[in-house]
Order: sequence, then structure tokens, then C-alpha cells
Amino acid sequence: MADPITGLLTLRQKNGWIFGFMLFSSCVSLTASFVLSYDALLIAANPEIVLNCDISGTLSCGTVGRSWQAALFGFPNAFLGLVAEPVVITIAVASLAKVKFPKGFMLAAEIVYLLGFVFAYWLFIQAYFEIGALCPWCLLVTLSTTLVFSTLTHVNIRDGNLFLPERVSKALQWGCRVGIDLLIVIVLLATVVLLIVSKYGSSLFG
Amino acid sequence: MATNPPSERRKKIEAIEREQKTRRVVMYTIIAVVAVAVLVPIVWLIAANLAPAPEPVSTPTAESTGAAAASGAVSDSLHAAVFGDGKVEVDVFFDFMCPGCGSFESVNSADLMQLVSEGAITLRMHPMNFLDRLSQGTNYSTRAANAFVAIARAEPDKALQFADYLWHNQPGENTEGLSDAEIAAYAQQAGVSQAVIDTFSELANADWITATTAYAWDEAGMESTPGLKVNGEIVAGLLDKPYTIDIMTPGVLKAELEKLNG
Repeated sequence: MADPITGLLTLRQKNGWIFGFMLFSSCVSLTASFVLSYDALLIAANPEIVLNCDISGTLSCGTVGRSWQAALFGFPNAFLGLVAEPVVITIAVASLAKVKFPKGFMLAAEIVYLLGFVFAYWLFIQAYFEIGALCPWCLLVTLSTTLVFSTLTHVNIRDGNLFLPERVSKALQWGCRVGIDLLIVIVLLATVVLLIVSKYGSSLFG
Repeated sequence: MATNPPSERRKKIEAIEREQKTRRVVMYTIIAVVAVAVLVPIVWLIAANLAPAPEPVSTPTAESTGAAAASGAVSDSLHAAVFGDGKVEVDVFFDFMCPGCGSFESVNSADLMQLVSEGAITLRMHPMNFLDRLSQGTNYSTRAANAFVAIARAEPDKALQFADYLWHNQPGENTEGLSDAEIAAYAQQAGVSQAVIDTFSELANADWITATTAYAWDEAGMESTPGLKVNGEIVAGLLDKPYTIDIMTPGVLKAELEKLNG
């Protein structure tokens, strides 16, 4: 029992796994951002339009896309994804090709992506509690942003890129080795799933 | 390694063992959390599927009581609740949440009811639910339209009066809409029997309304609401064209329909 677990956790620390996963997640996020940006244009052209992801009153990109939260900075939020995700893709591809980025660069990426991560969850909370509808592509952004942020944070902790005190850094590295970072991500995603099911269960399945 | 004093070596081994132990605990916790996240929705889904089991028992009775009077108003093939049998055919496509529909009805609702009772027009009401997304998850469009269709099936002579009450108390977009209790109260006010009101919560007409919505967009040629057809000609409901008759000015539509009736 201990062997496959050890094997998996060792694999999790490898560059190939981390950056491969980061590449995959950021591509998913970019795709979702693209769809949401395109939908925003369709809604702008025709506010009454019924989008193909307007499946029901509960599952509706249109409802979320028409909210003020969907354009917090005056333009569709998804545009930020179109700008930011290609940078992550570049980092992932370059790192897979064994490029080693300076610590300061990785710290900057971490900080900017932290903002994106916080923003993604703020949007989820808004959609959940205020807008009262779920948008499948937005949820995909929430998921992929979580995955990109976790891999980016993992690699920055592992490589000591965050300019943290030695003791803190060592403790975090130990946490990553035993898989606590993975546990945090799983708990977060499980919370999101349970929140959605508890509120929308009947209208999702029924 | 050999130079390490035994105690230090022991410490290292202990640290590794501790790490492996923690690792195992973390892994099992992860598996447990994943199991909860997967199992809870499944159990929930099964429970939700078992719970409505009593409903089908009551739905057939609701349908059979409705079917007895169904010829009264609701036509599946026309995707409409039909009122009157006059010469001029009027099709109205609407969503109870749509502000334009509210304006249209507050101008014309009384006139149309009068023309129906005079036998001048056949009024086909096509309730839609595409604005369910504007009622904060309460699906007001479907709830209101369902009540309207249920009344049209069972007690058709009360349906237009009920709709008129809803129009005059139309909720704003992006609110939760009227509550089920408020809808029931307006039905009562329109003289609908309690037995019919009690069926509202089953939303037995929800699929019918969704089908009507699809019919309006895909077959009736509607692009927006309020939509209006007179004798099959589209008067309102196209995006790039304003109304061919000024339907938002009181009396204009009525005069036009009376003229067509001759």
C-alpha cells in the first residue's frame, strides 16, 4: 500500500508532472476564457440572445454573463484570462524544455496568479450567492485556475522561489512532500462540489 | 554514513518514518474527502429520485382532471392556450418576466379579453420561460406560466383574468419574482378553485412551456418578446423591425383587430 502512494507522491514532485499538469490546466482555462469572451460579444450584440450553454434557469452562462460582476473592471472578466493564461502556458512549456526562471520572475508570476485565483473564487461566490445561476464555462475557469495556482505554488515552494524565511520554506516543502497541498486543493474542490449540489441538486439532476 | 553517531542516524530514520506516516495519513484523508465529494451527490441523486415517487401518483389525477377540460383552452399542436373562436387569429408570445410583455399587456390585455368575449378574435396565448434566468434561481417565468396553463386547462374562463393580475403586479427583472403564495393568491382572486391552485406546485406544465418556448423561436419565427401575430402575419417580435402596428398605444391594436373582423 505504501509503495504506490510513495511512487505517486514522488512523481508529483517531478518537473514533468508539475509543468505538464500546469500546461494542461492553463490550456483548459484559456479555452474557457475564449468561449466566455466570445459569449460576451454575442450578448453585447444581442442582449436577448439565448446562448447554447443556457441550459436551464440554473445552468445559464447568459444570466451570469449579463451580471455586473461579469465585467467588474468595465470589460468582460474573461479577457483577463485571454491575457494571463498564455503567460502560464509559456512558463509551463519553457520549464518542460528545462528553462530555469529566476526566482523574482516566478515570485511575480505567483503574486499575479494569486490575484487571479482570488478573483475566480470571488466570482464563484457572487454567482452562487448573488446571481443565483451557474455557468458551466465559469466553473471550468474556477477549476482550472485552482489547478494552475496549485501547481505554480507547489513548484515555487519546492524550488524556494518565494523569498520566505528558511524555517517556513522547509516546513512548506515538507508539507508538499507529504501531500498536504494536494489535500488542500481536494478539500477546496470538494467544498465547491458539495455547495453546488446542496443548493442546486434538484434542478441539476431533476 | 558510518561516521554518523548512531543517535543522529536514528533521528534521521525516525524523521523519514514520520514523514512516511504523515504521508499515509494525508493520502487516506484525501481518499476520504474525494469519496465524500463523489458519494454525497450520488446518494443525494438517488434520494431525490426516490422522494418524488409519490408525485407521479398525484400527477395522473392532476392530468386527468385537466384533460377533462383540456379541450377548453390548451392545444398541444398549437403550443397555445386558446381563448374564443372569432374570425381574427391573434397569437401572443410572452414571458411573464419580460417587461415589454408587461407593457404590451397593460395596454391591450383588457381589450383582448373584451374581443374574445365578443367573439371577434381567437386569442392564442403562448407562454414562454426563457427568462427563467432573470429570477435569481426561482424560475419565475416557468412558475407563473405553469399556473396560467394549469388554469387554462381546468378552468379556462379564469385564465386571462389571472394573467391580467400577474401583469399588473409584474415583478422586476433580476428579482425572485412573485412567490408561489402570491401566484396562488392572484389565482384565488381570479376565482380559480383551490383544487386547481393546489396543482401549481407540481409544475406539471413545465415541459409543455419549454416546448412552447422552442416552438416560438424555431417555428413561429419569433426573435424577441412580446411577439404578436395577427392572422399569421408577424406584427411584433422581430429584432430588427419595430411593430408594424403601434401596439403600445392604447386602442390602436383593438381598432385594427375590429377592422379586420369587419
